[in-house]
Amino acid sequence: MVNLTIDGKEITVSKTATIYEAAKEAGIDIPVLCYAKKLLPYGACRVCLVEVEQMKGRLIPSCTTPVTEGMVVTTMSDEIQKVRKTVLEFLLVNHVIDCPVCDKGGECDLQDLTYEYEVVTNRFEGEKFDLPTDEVNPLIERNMNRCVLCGKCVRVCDEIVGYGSYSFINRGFETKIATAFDRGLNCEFCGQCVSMCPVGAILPRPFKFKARPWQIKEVDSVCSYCGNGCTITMGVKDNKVQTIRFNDKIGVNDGNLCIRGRFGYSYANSDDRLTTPLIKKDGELVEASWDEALEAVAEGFKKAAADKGVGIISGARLTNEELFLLKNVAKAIGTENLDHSGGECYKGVTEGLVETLGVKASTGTFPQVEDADVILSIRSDFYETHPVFGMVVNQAVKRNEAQLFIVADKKGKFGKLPNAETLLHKPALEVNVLNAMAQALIEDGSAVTDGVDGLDELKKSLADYAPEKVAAATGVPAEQIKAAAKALAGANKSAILLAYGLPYTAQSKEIAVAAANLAILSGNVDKEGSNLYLCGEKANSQGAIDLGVIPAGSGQGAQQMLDAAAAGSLSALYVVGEDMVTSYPDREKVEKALDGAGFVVAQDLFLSPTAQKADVVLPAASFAEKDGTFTNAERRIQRVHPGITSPGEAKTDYAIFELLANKLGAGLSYTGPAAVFAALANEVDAYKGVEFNAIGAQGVVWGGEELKAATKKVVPVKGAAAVDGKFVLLTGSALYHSGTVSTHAKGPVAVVPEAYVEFGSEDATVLQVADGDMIKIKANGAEVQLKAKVDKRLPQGVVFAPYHFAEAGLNKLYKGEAAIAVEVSK
Amino acid sequence: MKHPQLLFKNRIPGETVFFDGYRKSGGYEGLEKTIKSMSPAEVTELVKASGLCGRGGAGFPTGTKWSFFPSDQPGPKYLVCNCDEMEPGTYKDGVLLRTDPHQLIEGMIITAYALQTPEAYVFIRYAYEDCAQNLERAVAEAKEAGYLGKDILGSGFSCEIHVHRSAGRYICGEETALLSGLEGRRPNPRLKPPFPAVRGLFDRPTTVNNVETLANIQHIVTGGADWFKSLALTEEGAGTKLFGLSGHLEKTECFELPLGVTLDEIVNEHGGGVRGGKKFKACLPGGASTPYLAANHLDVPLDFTAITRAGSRLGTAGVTVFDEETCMVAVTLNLIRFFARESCGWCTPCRDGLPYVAWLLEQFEQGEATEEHLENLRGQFRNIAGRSFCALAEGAMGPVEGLFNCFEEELVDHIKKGRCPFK
Amino acid sequence: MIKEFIQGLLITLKYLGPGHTTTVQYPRKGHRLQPSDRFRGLHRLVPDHDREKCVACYLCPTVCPAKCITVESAENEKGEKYPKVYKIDLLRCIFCGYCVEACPVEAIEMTGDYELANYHRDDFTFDKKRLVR
Repeated sequence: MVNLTIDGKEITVSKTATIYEAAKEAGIDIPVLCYAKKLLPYGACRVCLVEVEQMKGRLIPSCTTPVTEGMVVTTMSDEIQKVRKTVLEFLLVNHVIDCPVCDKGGECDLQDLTYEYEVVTNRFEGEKFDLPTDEVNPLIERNMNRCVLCGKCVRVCDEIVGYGSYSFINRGFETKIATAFDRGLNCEFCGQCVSMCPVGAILPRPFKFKARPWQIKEVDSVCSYCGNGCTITMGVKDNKVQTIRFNDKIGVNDGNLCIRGRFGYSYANSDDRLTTPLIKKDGELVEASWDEALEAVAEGFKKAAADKGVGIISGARLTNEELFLLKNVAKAIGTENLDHSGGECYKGVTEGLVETLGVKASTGTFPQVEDADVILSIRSDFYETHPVFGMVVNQAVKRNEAQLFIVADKKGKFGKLPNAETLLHKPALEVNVLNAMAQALIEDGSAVTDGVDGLDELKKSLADYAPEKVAAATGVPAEQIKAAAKALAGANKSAILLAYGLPYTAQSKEIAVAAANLAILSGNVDKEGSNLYLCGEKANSQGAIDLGVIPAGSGQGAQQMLDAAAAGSLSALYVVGEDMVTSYPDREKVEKALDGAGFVVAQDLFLSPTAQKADVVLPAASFAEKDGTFTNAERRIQRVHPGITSPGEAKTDYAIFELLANKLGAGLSYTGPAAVFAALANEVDAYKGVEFNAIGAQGVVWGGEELKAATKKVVPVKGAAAVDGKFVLLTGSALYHSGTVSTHAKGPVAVVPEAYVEFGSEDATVLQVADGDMIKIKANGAEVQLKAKVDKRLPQGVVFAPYHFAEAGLNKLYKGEAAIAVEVSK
Repeated sequence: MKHPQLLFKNRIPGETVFFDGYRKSGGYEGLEKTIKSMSPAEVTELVKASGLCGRGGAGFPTGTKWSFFPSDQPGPKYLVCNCDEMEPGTYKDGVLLRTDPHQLIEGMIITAYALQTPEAYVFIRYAYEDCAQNLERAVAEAKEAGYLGKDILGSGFSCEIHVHRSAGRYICGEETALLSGLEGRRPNPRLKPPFPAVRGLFDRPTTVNNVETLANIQHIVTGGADWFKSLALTEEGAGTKLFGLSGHLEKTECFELPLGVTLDEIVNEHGGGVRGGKKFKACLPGGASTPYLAANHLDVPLDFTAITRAGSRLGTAGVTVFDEETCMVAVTLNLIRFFARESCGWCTPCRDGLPYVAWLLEQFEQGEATEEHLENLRGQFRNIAGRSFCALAEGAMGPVEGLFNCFEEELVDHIKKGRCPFK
Repeated sequence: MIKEFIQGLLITLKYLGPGHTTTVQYPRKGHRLQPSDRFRGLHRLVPDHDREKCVACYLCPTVCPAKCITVESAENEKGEKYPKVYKIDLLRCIFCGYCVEACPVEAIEMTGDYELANYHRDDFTFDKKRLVR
C-alpha cells in the first residue's frame, strides 16, 4: 500500500494503482477519454494531466503514472484547466459538430467535457473531416469523422476479444482508425468497440436514431443465451428492448459481451412471437382463449396420465422458479417423466462428476481462471459456446502469461493465442487423448495418488492408453501429450474447461470422467485456485441440474420418452421451451414421437417446427419479461429482471405453470418469484440460506468460490475408435448463435443468416469448393443441402456444420454421434 | 587536421574501409582485449568513467544507461543500434557507415559483451540502403574472422547481429517506437515506465544506442577512459563528436571535432564561413529539434552542458546555418510542417496541435497575422511542449522556442509590415 | 399650472376621438391584426429544400414543460435522421417558447397566428403536415 495526497486529501491505495485510479477511489474526478478500466494504460488523449509536486515543471498524465509514496497531486489549477481546454479545442478542430443527429449525444464524453470546460468557441480553424461512414455491416456503424482517436476500440478488440479488426492507419493529422485495407468491418460483431467508444464514432446500427439516452430506462438482467451468465442492461423504451447498454459495474462479465448478448436481444421484440394460445382443430392450429387452451391441456394430461402416461421435456432457459413450478406441475399430473435439454448432454455433470468428484457443478468461478497459469480447454469450440468465458481465457493467456492447451478436433481462436498449443486429434477421440495425458502422469510418477480411490482399476485400463499408442491413433504427437500433462501437473493454479450442450451429446459422460480423472491425477482438485469447469450451453443449464429437472425414480429420460412416444407407449408430451425437431439429435425419431404421442402441448415463444406439430400451443415469455433467477456455469445465482411486458396474451412460464397446476387441481399459490424461491431453497440443499431479495448485483455463488470435491475417485473410461470415412462431419455451435432462439434475433441472423457447411482450405481446393456453393451431404440414409463456407481451421477430411437452423435439417444426419462419416458432393 | 581523429581516422573520401583496412588500423584489438581480459561489469564501469554521452540527441550518459541493464537476468536480451537517422540536418551516421562500418560492428560486439545480450539488431533507415549493404558485408567479414557469431574468440560468449531495414518514418528514431517497429507493429512510442531496459524488444530487456555512441566504445576500450575524457576541450565534455554541417556555408561536410569546440570555429574555420560572404544569422546546433543559436552565441563551446546554458541543445550536432537574408519564421514553418507530417498521430497535442502551429506560422508568412496570433503561438508553445506522449512534439517546439528567444522582433515585424519582410 | 393641466387633458381627449383609438372591433373588423415579432403564437416547422429542417434530436420534447411535443425519429433513404412523427398538442402547450430556444438547428419557430380555437379536440393536435409551412 502507498500513501499519497490528492488535492489535500490523504489516501492509501494499492501500489499498482495509477494516480487516476487513486483519485477515483478518493472520489476526485479527473476527466479521461482514452482510459478504460479493463484496458492497459495508454495515455494518448492528454486530458487527464495533473500536477505532481515531486515532478514540478511538467504535467503528468494521471492515467498512466503509478502512484509513489508521499506523492502530492493537484488535479486542478489554472494551468491544468487551460491545457485541458486546449486539448478539447484540438479535438474539436476537425470533429464534426452533429450532436443533434448523433446517437451518442447526451452520454458523450467529449460533449460532457466540452460543456464542463466551457469550450464555446474555437480559436483554431481547420477543416472538418469528411470521411465516408462504414455502413456495410448491419450491426456496427462507424463514423470516423467523430473519432477522437482514443484507441479504445483498437485495444479492446486486441486485448480483450483477441480478434484485432482495427488499427491506426496514416500519420499525423490524417491518422484514423481503420480495418485491414480500410474496408468495411467484417468481424465477430461482439460490439465491444461500440461499448468502449467515448464518442459517437462507433454505434450500434440496430439502435440508430431509435431513442436518446435520457429517454431510455435501464434494466439489469442476465443474458438468456449461454451458461456464462453475463449481466446485460436492457435499454427499454415504448415497451421494447431498444438496445443493450454498456455496464461494466456489475456482473461476472466486466462489461464484455458477445454478439448474442449485445445484438441478440431482438427476438424479444420479434413480430413472429406467439401472442395467443392455439388449439389444433381439424388439423389446423386456431386461436383460442387461455381458458379454453388450459382446459384442453388439463383435460388432455388427465386423460393421458390415466392412459399410458405423460412425458415432460423442458428447455434450460427457464428460470429456477419456473423449473420448480414445472416439477410441481409434473407432480400434479402424476408423472415422473421429467427431463431437459435432450437428456444426454448434461450427463457429464450429473453422472460423470458425481461418480468421480461427488459434485454436480463446476468447482470454481470465472475470475480464478484469469489467475491460472496452465489452462486445458477441451474442444476448441469453447470460445464459440461461451465467448465471454473465452475472453477470460484470453486475459489469462495474454496478460498473465498462462499456458494454454487445447484438446480439439479442429483449430480455433484459442489456438492463435500466444503460448497456446492445440492437441489436434482425429474427430471423436477426446477421451483417448485425455486418457493418454493421465497415463503420462502415471508413467512419469508425477500423478497425485494420495487419497485417490479406484487407482488400480484405472491403471489397468490406462495401460491401453500409453501416449505413444494414442499418438498413433489420434494423430497427436506423444511428446505433446506428455508435455501438456506435465505442465498441467506442474501448475500452481490450473483450470480444466469443458463445455457441454445439445450438439455434443455423444460421450458427454465419458469426456467428463476422463477430465475429472485428469483433474484428480494432476492435483487440480486439491490445489487452491485450480478448478474444473463444466459449462452448460444454456443460461440455466446448471439451475436445471440443481433443481433436479432430470428423471428420478422410475421416470424416463428425454430420449426414452421420445422412444416410448414413437412406439405409442406414451400418451402425451409436454414440451416447454424446446424446439426438439430442430435441435435434438435424430429428427426422424423426434417427429415420430410427436406424431406417436396422442396429445402434444408445446409452450414456446415462436411457432417452431415442434409447436407446429402440437395439439395445443401456449405462448410463453422471453427472458426480458421475466422475474426470477438463473444459475450460471460457475454456480452463480443471479437475478433476472423484467424490462418489458409480454406481447398480446403471451404469459410467462411462471404464470402458465401456476394456472395449469390450478386447473389440474394442485392448488399452487405463491405470492411471487420470491416465495417460489424460498420454497425451492427449502428443498434444494445447495440453495439453502439464499434469500431471493438479498441476491445482489454480483449474484450468490452456491457452495462458495471453490466447491470442495466430496470424493476423489478415478474411474476407468474407454476411449472411442476413430470414425472411418473420407469425410467426417462434426456438428456444434457457431459463435454467432446459441440454441435455436438466436435464429429469431435480427443481429445474429444478419451475420449468419442460414446454415452452412465449413470446409478446410485444403479440402476445398481438392473438391473445388468455394464460398456459397451448394453442397450435398449424405449420411445415415439421409441427405441435406448446405451452403459451403471455406475456412482455415478444419484439418483435412473434416467438415463442420452448426446445428441451430430449422430449415437445414442437420439432425436428419446427426443421430447423436460424436462425428459422422459422410459423403460430400457438389 | 588540427584535431585528433578517432571515428574518421580511416576516412578516405568516396571510399569505404572494410575488414583488411580496418584491421590494419588496429581494428578488433579492442574487442580482443575486452573479451580476453575484462569482465562485462568492467566494460560498463570503463564506459561510465569515460563520460561518454549518447550521441543520438538526448545526451544521456551511456555508462549510466548500461548500468540499469539487467545483464545477469536469464532469457533473451537485446541490444539495438538506432540508425534511423531522419532528422533534417543530421547525416553523420550515414557518413560514418560509408566510411568505416566495422567500427560499429566492433562497438556493438563489445557492448553486447558488456550487457551479455546474445542478439543485436541494427535498425537502419530505408534510405541508407548502401550503408545497410556495407553493414551486411562487415557482419559477414567479422563472422568469418571469428569476431562474431558463436563462441567469439573461444570465450564462450556468442553474439549475432541482424541488420533490419526500417520502413522509414521520423518517429522510428524514438527508441520505444523503434522497438515497436522492429517487432513489426505500427511504430508508436510506448509508455515509460516500463523502460526498455526492463521490457523492451519483444518484452525483454533491451538497450538502444546510437551508431556513433557504439562506434566510440572500442576507442574507449583501447585508449582508456582518461584519454577519452581528455579529448574534449571543456571540463564537462568527453571525446569527439561528428559535426554534420549544412545550410548557408561554403563547406557543408561532416567533421570530427572535439566536444567543446566553439560555434565560431565550426562556422568560420571548418565550414569556411557563411556562403557568399554574407553575415551569420542563426543556426540549428543539433538538428531540427533544437532551439536556434544566434550571432551572439558564436563563442559558445559546443558540448552537452555548455550549450544548454545558452538555451539550446547539442542534439545530434547537425549544424544548419542560416545567413542574414533568411526569414526565421519561414524556417520554423518549414520545420514545423515536417514535424506535423511525421507525428505518429497518437496523442492529441502532437497530432492536432502541430498542424495548428503550422497554420499560425502560415498566417505570419502570408502577412495575415495579428497580435492575437502571436499570443496564440506563444500559448501553443506552452501547451504542446511537455504535454505530449513522447519527445517528438517537444522537439518540434524547439525551433519555436528559439524563435521566441532570439527572433521575436521578427515575428512582430511580420505583423507590423503585414507581409514577410524577407520576400 | 392650469395651462399644463388643460394641455394634458386635450391630448387625452384627442385620443378619444376617431382615428386615434387602438381598440379593434375583433372579429367583426381587423381580424388580420399583426402582432409583435416577439409574439408567441402557433408553432411552425421550418422547411429546408425537400424536407423539414428538423433533425429529430428530441431536445424540444425534453425541454417542454407541458410535455406536449411528440417526436419519433427515423432514418430516411439518404441515411439522414428525420422526424417520422412530429406532433404538438396545443391543448397542453403553454406557449413558453422553450422549444424554439432549445432547437439546435432553428427548425422550429413561433408565428404570429393566434386564432387557434377549434370545435374538436382532435383538431388541436398539430402534426407535421400542419406544422411545416
